[in-house]
Amino acid sequence: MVYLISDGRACGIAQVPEVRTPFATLEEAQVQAVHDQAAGRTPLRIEEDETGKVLWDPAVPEVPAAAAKHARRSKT
Amino acid sequence: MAAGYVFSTIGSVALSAATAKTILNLITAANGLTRIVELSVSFDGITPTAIPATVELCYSTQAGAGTPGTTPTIYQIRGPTRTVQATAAQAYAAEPTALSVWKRWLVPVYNGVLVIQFPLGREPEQIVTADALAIRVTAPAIVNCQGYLEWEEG
Repeated sequence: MVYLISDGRACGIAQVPEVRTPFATLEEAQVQAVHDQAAGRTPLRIEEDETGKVLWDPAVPEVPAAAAKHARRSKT
Repeated sequence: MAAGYVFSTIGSVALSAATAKTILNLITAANGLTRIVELSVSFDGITPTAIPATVELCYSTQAGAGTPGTTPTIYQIRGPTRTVQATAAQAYAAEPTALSVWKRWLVPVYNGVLVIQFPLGREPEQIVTADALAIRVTAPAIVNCQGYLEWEEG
């Protein structure tokens, strides 16, 4: 289980800074996060349920492994 | 004449603080049409000063199926006897994706009741195969809620 953490004000709950939404998988949470972003809600991060570890943060875009490998090859 | 159906939460659904939960979800069958005519959500809060909950009527693409609770019973409540086409689910432990908010309400959790009937010809409809219409509730503090969805097919 993972939690998508969203800005409460953008969710219409001004009194709650962060709204937590549980998802079965990271992929499902990411689908909703991208969707929320497009709809004007503000996804803040995705956390692992048990450890609280941040699995995804929109402020830190991921570099796909394949793209990174390609970039390294291009330099040589 | 269209056939009318209803399903509800199985007893109360426990809401965690500041955690969104899909309490009702109606998934459209292949080539089906679901037309929401009435919905309700009510709360059992006993604190008069409790902050209201947000209730949302959402469109779900069902890209992620989520983890629904026990399958509720669908009852036909009017119209010619027909086999229901849609699938009902309630009390999701993990949310379905991706949800778009169509309509939203702030509802008091201190014995608050929301009952909405949609006017004839202006009902929210779902016509996409395997997409859904969902009721999602987010309460700032823990509270229980119950609700139902009434819809028509055909």
